[in-house]
Amino acid sequence: MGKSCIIALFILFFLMVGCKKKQEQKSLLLYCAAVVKPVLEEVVKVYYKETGIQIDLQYGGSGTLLANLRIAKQGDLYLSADASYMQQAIKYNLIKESKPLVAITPVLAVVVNNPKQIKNIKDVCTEGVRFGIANPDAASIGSVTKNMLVASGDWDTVKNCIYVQMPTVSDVSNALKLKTIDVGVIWDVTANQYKEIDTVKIDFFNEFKEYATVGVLKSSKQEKEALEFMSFLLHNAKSKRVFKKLGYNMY
Amino acid sequence: MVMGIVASTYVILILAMVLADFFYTTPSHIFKALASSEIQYAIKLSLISSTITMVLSVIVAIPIGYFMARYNFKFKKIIDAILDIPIVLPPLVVGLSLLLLFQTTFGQFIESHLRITYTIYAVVIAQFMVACAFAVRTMYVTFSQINNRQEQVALTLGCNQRQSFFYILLPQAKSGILTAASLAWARALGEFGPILIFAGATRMRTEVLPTTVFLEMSVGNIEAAVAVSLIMIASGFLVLLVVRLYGTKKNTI
Repeated sequence: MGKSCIIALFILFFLMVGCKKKQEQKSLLLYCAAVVKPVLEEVVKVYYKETGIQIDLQYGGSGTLLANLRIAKQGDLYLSADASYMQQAIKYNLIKESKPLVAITPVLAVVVNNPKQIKNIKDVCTEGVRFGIANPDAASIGSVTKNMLVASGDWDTVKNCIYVQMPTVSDVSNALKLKTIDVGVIWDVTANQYKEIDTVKIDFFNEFKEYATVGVLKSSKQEKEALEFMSFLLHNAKSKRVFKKLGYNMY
Repeated sequence: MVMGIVASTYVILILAMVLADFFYTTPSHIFKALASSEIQYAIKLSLISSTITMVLSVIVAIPIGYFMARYNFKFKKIIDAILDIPIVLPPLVVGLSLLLLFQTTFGQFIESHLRITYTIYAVVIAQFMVACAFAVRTMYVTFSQINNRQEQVALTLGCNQRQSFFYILLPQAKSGILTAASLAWARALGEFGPILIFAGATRMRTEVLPTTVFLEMSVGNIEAAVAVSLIMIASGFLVLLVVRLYGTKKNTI
């Protein structure tokens, strides 16, 4: 019994080392804001086919990812949903070089066909309407939502109508898809990915256009490869095609 | 000798983890964290919801554990496996499944009377689904280990089934019940994944302590995140210790 246990442990250990080997194939770690997840997933596949370099993506809200990479001090690239998080990362002395990647605009998103008849931002306070936003601390869209509504003077009323806050833009979109909320603020490019989501035009939202920004981390041990991937992402025709196909406007 | 090394390595690893937290923070960070109204709210909600979860879990776990330990019935093995599903499932799946459950006709019926999704009720339900499974497992083992001879003697002496359960079996299971309760409480206090999905991360509403750690980290306030973690470690440790001391009063500590 004891002997077989030890043998089994050894076998498992060797299998794990095997897994690690695979992990150590040439690969880059990219901290990726949730808003660009669909497009990055595709581009990464294309890049792997071209170069054999695997890009591992870690998703989350821009703020969450920034905190992670500050602690871990590992990884090769950071893609934040808006420039403000990249500014913070630069302030923390984490970024070697950064470039804007795609334009994104916040939109008021509703369940398809707008069953609750939401027409403007004040409607989120209507009785029976569940309004969800991304957490202003965790996600870029959350802080943009707050800033927009503060600027328009609506925040003080609207903040009491917030039914739920969620960690990322994807969570808010999923909640709309599952109809657990009726209206939320998300990025236009995220709304494009969901056939279950319609958007309501709010003019002053357009003033808050942001640029998802990609940067190479100082912690990267494969700086050359990281810069190469960044340039592929920004300039390669195949990458541009993927962005276009999924409805993202490049910078 | 070898066993000693193996055992002590694990204990040292646990302590080292806690110490690492300690060295990252200072008392002033902890006091600052304690002074923030969001964190006060999170502490309050965490303690209250975990306690409710604990009581609910014990109430549910005692009868389930009793039936599983004392009776044989068809499909017992299958029921046994079903009871372990919440333990096996990844936390995110528990949260997502609850979210979907409350979107069905049955769920919508409940929601039309009392809103569950994204409220504090969702916090308790999410905690309960996982914590209760641990309590059930503990009660099942507890009742199985108690010889049913005494109950049978009580029955021959004129006790009915109910009396033999409450006066003979339950007192013997006291320490098992305490363990189940403390396990459920601790599990509930640390629950995060299902709550994030099913109850959201709304500050001052559905924010429990693990959510606070997550949100403080998101803003880059790692010091506060660590301070809150230490508050959790301390309160969890204290409650478990009190329960252990009280539960094993007759024996040694």
